[in-house]
Formats: sequence, structure tokens, C-alpha cells
Amino acid sequence: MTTQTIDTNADFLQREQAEDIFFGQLVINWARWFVIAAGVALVMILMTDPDELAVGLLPIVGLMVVNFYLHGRRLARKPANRGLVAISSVLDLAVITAVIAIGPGDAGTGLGNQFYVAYFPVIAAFGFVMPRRFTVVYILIAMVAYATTCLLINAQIVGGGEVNWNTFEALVTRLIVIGAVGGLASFFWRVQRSRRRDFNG
Amino acid sequence: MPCPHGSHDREHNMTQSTDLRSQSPDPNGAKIFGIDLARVINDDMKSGLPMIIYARWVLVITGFGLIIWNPPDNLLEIQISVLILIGLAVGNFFLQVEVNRERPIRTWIVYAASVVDIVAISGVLVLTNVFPSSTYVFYMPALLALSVTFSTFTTAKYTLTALATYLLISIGPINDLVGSDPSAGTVAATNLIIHALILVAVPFCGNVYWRLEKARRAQEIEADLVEQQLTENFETTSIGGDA
Repeated sequence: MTTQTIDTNADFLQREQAEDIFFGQLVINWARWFVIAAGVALVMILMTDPDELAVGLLPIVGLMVVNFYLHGRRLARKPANRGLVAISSVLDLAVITAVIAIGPGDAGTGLGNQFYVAYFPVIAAFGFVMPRRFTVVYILIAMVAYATTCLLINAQIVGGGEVNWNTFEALVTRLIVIGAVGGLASFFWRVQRSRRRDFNG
Repeated sequence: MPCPHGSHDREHNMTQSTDLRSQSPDPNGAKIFGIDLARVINDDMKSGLPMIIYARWVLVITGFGLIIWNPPDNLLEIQISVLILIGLAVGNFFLQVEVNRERPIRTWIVYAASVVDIVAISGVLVLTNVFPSSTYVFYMPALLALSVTFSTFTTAKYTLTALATYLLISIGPINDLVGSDPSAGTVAATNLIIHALILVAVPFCGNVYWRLEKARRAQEIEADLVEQQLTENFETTSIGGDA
């Protein structure tokens, strides 16, 4: 009897997690469309050399292909599994960080590049869909990637052993809000889960 | 006899949802899956309110931390920023206490609190008069929190207000920037477009999730109602058969 109860509970948890991915990946797809739109704006406006423009569009087109595939599967009610969703989300972080590091055209690199704002929808969407432990790891990856990129590229933050507090403050503020947005999304994911569990008894 | 697998609780919840339906009919008669929307919307607001409160604590604590750590050169800027943060902290403390005491909070207070958030962030942006400003990022938690608390229409109104305010605020510093360096105009305009897109993206994604969760709950309630009706029909048929 006890074993049966535990198994039923495990089945319920598995089904709940699968449903979270099934329903929630639409949010990740939408977040990625916004990142793609921001990327297109950045590359198309700021790149003046045709060869550079073609190269700059490559990662954006890559993201578009991934999102057409994932969004198409979701619309056909054959959504991606958790592994695929996680891999595509890490790819989002990689592309955003690469754009910040390379800085197409006159966009600037590191701290001066405003494409860091693209982290926010991606992290919020991930927090809404994935369990807390995954979200924490994802947020940490984003924070470490952004902080490392800025510290490596922007010599003015820590230049000659002296810290420039104004630029360092900007970096810290951004990192705090990246963490806060992910934390809030994950908190709301828990709130919704307990609402459903309360209802299901 | 105790019900196995919590089926008694389930039944209790089902009864509760049915009672709610009859107790508070929607003034417009709008119902989805036989559920009273007014009540569901109110519950949504209740579950989203802690998000608004936590998002504001992030703003208050980070704001105070930054002012103390690296105070701006302009004294007036510090004074006004501190006053705004104290106002937010007091208001948020009141909301936090009311939520912890499980006391009902008037709907207009929740709406007003979100307006105050947007006004406060915009106020600090006006004071700093810099583009791009790091203060911009504080819109994100505030808009994310309200997008999972309010309906799509209300979220859209708040988002558009925040967007319009931000665009208006940015015109001044961008003009100054272009005045001193004409080549900076294109970069500033591109950055403004990216900021505007993401300002819309975050509440949009939040509200898409809010709608998905609402649909999930509605489906579960509908399934339970059907199950309940089938059980009742089965019992009636069985009794009729015995007779």
C-alpha cells in the first residue's frame, strides 16, 4: 500500500514536470523571438560593411532556425523534451555573451554593449519553466559569463590594480538584477506549482 | 472511512470551486469552463502580489546599497533618490505586513503600487539624465512582477506607459549625446530600440506564462467537474438499479 502511494506520487511529480516543460516552453520560444529581433536591429543598423553584416547575421540566423524548429514542434503539439529545451537555452546565453564580447559595428564591447538586456527575457522564461535547481545553475552561468566577459574586455573596470567604481557599480547593478529576475521567475513557478497541488489535494 | 490518496480533499476542493461559482457570479456573465472569472482573477492577483512586493524590495535594497556604496556627485540627486526609496520601503512594508497577516488588500492599492514603481524608476532616470543608464534595468523586475499578477490588458497598459515614459525620458540625454558627438546618434538610437524591445519582451513573456497557467488550472477544474458529474451519475444509476 505504502509502495503504491509512493509510486503514485512519483508518477504525479513526473507528469507535473513534463507538463511544466510542455506548456512552458512557449514562453522560452517567445523570449528567444525578442532576442532575435533585438539582434537583428543591432546588426542591421550598426554594421556598414557587407561582409561583416553577413558574418554578424550568422548567429542570429542560427538562433532563428533553432526557434522555428522548437516553436514549430510546440505548435504541432510535439514539444521538445527537457534536455533539448535546456541545450537551446544555454545556446541563447552563448549567443548573447558572444554578441557582448564581439560588439558588432560601433555597438561597443563588454560593459559598453547594451545587448546585455537580452539576458532578462531569456532568464525569466527559463525560471518560469524549469525546476529551481536548474534555474539557479542557469542564472549563475549567465552571471559568470557576463561578469567574466566584462572584466576581460573592459580594462577600465580594474585597470592597473585600481578599481573604477562607476563602471564596477554598473556591472554589479546589472548582475544583481539578472539574479533578481531569475529568482522572481523561479519563485512564481513555485507559487503556481503549489496552487495546482492545493487544488489537486 | 478515510478517503485514500486524498480524494476527500479533492472532493472538498471541487465543492469549493462549485460553491464559488454560485456565490459570486461574474457581473458580465463571462465564464470559461464554468468558472467564475472574477474570482479566478482575484486569486491570480493574490498569488502574484508577493512577486510585486519582492521585486520592490530588490529595488529598495539595491538602490540604498548603490547610493551608500558610490554616492552621486549631485547632492539633490542623492536627497530625492533617498526620499523615493524611503517612500517605496514604507509602502512595501505596509503591503508585506498585510500579506503576512493574510488581511485583504484593496485592488486599487495593488494597481497603485505598480504605478508608483514605474514612476519611481522613471523619476530616478530623469534625475540621472544619462543614456544609457543602469537604472533602466530596474524596470525589469517591476514589469515582470506585474505581468504575472494582472490581466493581459492591464499588463499591456502598464507596459506601454512604462515604454512611453522611458522613450520620452531618453530623448533629452540622447540629444545631449548627439550634440557633443554627432556620430553617437546611430548607436544611441540602436540601443534605445533594443531597450524598448526588451522592455516589452519581459512583461510579454511573464503574461504568456500567466495565461498558460490559467488555462492549465481551468482544464484541471473542468476535468474535476466532469469527473464529479460522472461519479454522481454512476451513483444515481446504481441506486436506481438496486431499487
